Amino acid sequence: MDDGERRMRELLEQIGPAMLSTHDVDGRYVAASQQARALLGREPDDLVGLDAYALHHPDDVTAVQTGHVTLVATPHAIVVDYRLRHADGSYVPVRSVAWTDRDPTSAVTHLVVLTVPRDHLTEEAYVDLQQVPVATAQRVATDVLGA
Amino acid sequence: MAADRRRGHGADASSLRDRLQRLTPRRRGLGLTVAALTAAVLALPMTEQGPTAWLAVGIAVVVFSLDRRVGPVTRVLDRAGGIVIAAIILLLVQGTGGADSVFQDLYVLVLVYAALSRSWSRLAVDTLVVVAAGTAPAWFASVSARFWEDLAIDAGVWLAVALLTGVITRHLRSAAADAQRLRSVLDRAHDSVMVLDADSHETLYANDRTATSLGVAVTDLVGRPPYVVTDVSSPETIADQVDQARATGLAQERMYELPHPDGPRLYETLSRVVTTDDGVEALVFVGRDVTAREARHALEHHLAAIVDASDTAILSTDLRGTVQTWNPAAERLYGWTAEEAVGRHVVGLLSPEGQATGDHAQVVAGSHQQFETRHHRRDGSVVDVAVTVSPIRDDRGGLAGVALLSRDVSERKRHEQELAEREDRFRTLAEQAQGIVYRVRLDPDVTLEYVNPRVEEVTGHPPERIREDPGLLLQRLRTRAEHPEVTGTDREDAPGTTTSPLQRADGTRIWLEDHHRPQFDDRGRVVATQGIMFDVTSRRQGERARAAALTHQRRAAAALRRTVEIQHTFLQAVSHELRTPLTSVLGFARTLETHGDGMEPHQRRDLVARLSRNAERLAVLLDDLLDLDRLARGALELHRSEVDLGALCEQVVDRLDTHGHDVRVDVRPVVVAVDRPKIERAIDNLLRNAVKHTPVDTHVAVTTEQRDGHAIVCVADDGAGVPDDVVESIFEPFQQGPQAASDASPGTGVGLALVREFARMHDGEAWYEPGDPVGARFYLRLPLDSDSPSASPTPGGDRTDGEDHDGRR
Repeated sequence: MDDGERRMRELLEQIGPAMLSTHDVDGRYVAASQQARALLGREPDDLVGLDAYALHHPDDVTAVQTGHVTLVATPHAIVVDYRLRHADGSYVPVRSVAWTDRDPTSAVTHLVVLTVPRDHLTEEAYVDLQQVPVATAQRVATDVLGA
Repeated sequence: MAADRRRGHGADASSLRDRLQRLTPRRRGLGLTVAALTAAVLALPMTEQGPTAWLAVGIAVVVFSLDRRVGPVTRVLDRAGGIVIAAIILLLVQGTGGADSVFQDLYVLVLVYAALSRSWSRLAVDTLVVVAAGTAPAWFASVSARFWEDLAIDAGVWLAVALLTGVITRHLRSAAADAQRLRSVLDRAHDSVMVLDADSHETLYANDRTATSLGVAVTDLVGRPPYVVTDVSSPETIADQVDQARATGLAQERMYELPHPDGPRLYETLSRVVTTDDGVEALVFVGRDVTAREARHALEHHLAAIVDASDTAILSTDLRGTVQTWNPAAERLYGWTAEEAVGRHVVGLLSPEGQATGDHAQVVAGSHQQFETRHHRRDGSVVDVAVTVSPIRDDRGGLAGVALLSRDVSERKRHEQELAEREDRFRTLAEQAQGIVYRVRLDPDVTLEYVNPRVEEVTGHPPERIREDPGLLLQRLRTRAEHPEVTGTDREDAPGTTTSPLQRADGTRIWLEDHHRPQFDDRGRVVATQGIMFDVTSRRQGERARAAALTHQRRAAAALRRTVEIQHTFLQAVSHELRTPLTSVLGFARTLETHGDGMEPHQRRDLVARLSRNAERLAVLLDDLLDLDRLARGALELHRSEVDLGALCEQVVDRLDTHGHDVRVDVRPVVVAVDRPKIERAIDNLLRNAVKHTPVDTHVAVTTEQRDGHAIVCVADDGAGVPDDVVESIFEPFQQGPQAASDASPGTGVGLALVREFARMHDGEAWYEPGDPVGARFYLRLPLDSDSPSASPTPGGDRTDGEDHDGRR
């Protein structure tokens, strides 16, 4: 386990409702961790197949789409702030760090997204997460989600 | 003016051709014919009522025809009581046959009508009703077996005919309904549909859309060629289309531009020649308003042209990152052709190392993401690029793909690198410089961007303090009013050198010479100034000392030149003043020596007296020169005694050679402690000056008075006075006044100088005032109360016969 993976796992443990999810290239949920209950009041299985954009605040869709295409067109991870709709109808301010999972030809196969409530993420943790390499994020996501 | 443009068959051609096929009426006519013939063939051999049956068939055919041509007839029969009409027809037929026949025919006609106008369920009901109604009278009128036999045969035959006819009619009515529905659809169609007679060009049909697009009413269009009521097309154009359609058998595609209040509209039309069931050749037009589509296509072409011509690499991918489009600039930048790049994945193509190693996250906000990175080219080289990534959305705002714009910034990066290196070199040089090197941004606020460490050594202020208040260093940036002593240019829009004072931290003042140069932005505004300052305090002090010395030297040289000039003038004057009495003395002495013995006593006394006066003039002149010399050497001392200046003035006037002037004495006793010989000389010089420099008939007056603790002697004349340009210098040594009387010499320039010097020795003064209204007034003022000890008091008016220390009388 390298430093990046250790740090990411520590952060996952420290940040209570840190939801890890994977999405297909269109943004639909493929899998979501158990923290979806605490974060969004939703069952992880209920999220599967759901278009993630359906849960975004309308004013944030543009920024998330920009993050989405930046993920697709570059090797970079992205960080974006937006609001997700809770099951009770309210919106939860969140910050997501996202990576791409690609096949050997570099085609995007999945998006890996770590979503935490914005007020739960310290600047230090935020900076640390930004520096987690793609491969590490993929490994952690696979381990956590069993994908 | 309409225009038409031919085009090849497009994607819409097949659907339009299908519509044309559906317009073919042949099917309806064929069905009608088959139905009628079938009914006749089936009915005739089975009945004895041949004429009646033929009549029934004929009526059915008429009704079919009417129904096909003018469907409302059937509807009238249905709604207005077809039974009544049928009964009337039956009664008309009744006149040609018996009652049985009439009733039987009635049954048949009713059944035919029912088959023509009703549904199968209604047909069954109607049949029962009519048969019941028709057979009841017959039942009561004739109950012969023959009747029942004929009735059964007729009923069976006509029922069969009715059933067949009903089947056929239903089929035909269905076809008519289809045609009506089609017509209704065409009437309300979004596309324009128009049918012309191929030969006469008469409009057989036009829907509302066609009429609207042509700007006419449907009623105006139908029955006339379209070019009669509109500007669209022409006989030749339509004939040409008909010919081509006939020749090819294919639909012809054309574009028409039709006028419209909101601007020309473009219509795409398909036309085809079809033949109707009744053998009429028709040219069928189907047109669609494609203005918006064409505008969109034009815009797409423009955008495509822009993308192709752009210097920025522009590419798009799907949501897997698979390249979909790749413009020529991308080919130039990355080396991959569009054919090679499309279908590959953008990250693997441009950022293979990024995929392998992972990069730090991009923080995203807004509608697009901009950043700089390094991309790989096809040849393996790496290029610095500025990248913009933005979403491509579908019509519903959903994510459809990725647009990526990339611009080569290698050159800029190289320049930045060079700039950074230069800045490092500059910083190193600046920090080692002897002067204060600085750079100040002026806009929007005055901010010290750089100052080297030397600033603290020169000003005593640490660099941090200077950054907080750049005005501590750059006092030239303050107003001139605050620093009027600042020299040099203070303009910020031109290079310049400014020397200005600066107060050091310890309160001392130094002078800084600032060599500054402005920095401009793209619009020519001064946004910064930079320069180097040197402490020039020592140099400035040396310069000022040198300047003072130079000034002193210049003044000394001028004084020397003046002295030489004065000496020259003085020598001329002295030689004249000496020569004149000396010549007289010699002349008188030689005369006495040669002729004295023969002279009368009074003659000798006169010569001796003259000789004595000239000798005295020589003595006075020598005294003046000697006194002036003593004054210059500071070797003259005062020997005071109390003297009555009034009496002294009278004595001086008594001895004065007035040269014919009227010298008046108006004195009063004023006793003052003075060095008598010097004051006597002063008064004598004033009087001599007056008579020398005024005409012979000029009045000269000498007065004394006591005022404000001083004794004042005034010698006044009514001559020309002293010119303004020499007033300031007439008391200077060797300065000569204006030319005196014609027989007088200009003098030595010593007399008035001695007057002032003697007055000063007595703490008094001498001055000149112009007369009123003319003339000159010379004053000698001496203090009455002098601290200097008196020598030997002398009685007023008595001349002291003492000698100066140098023995001069």
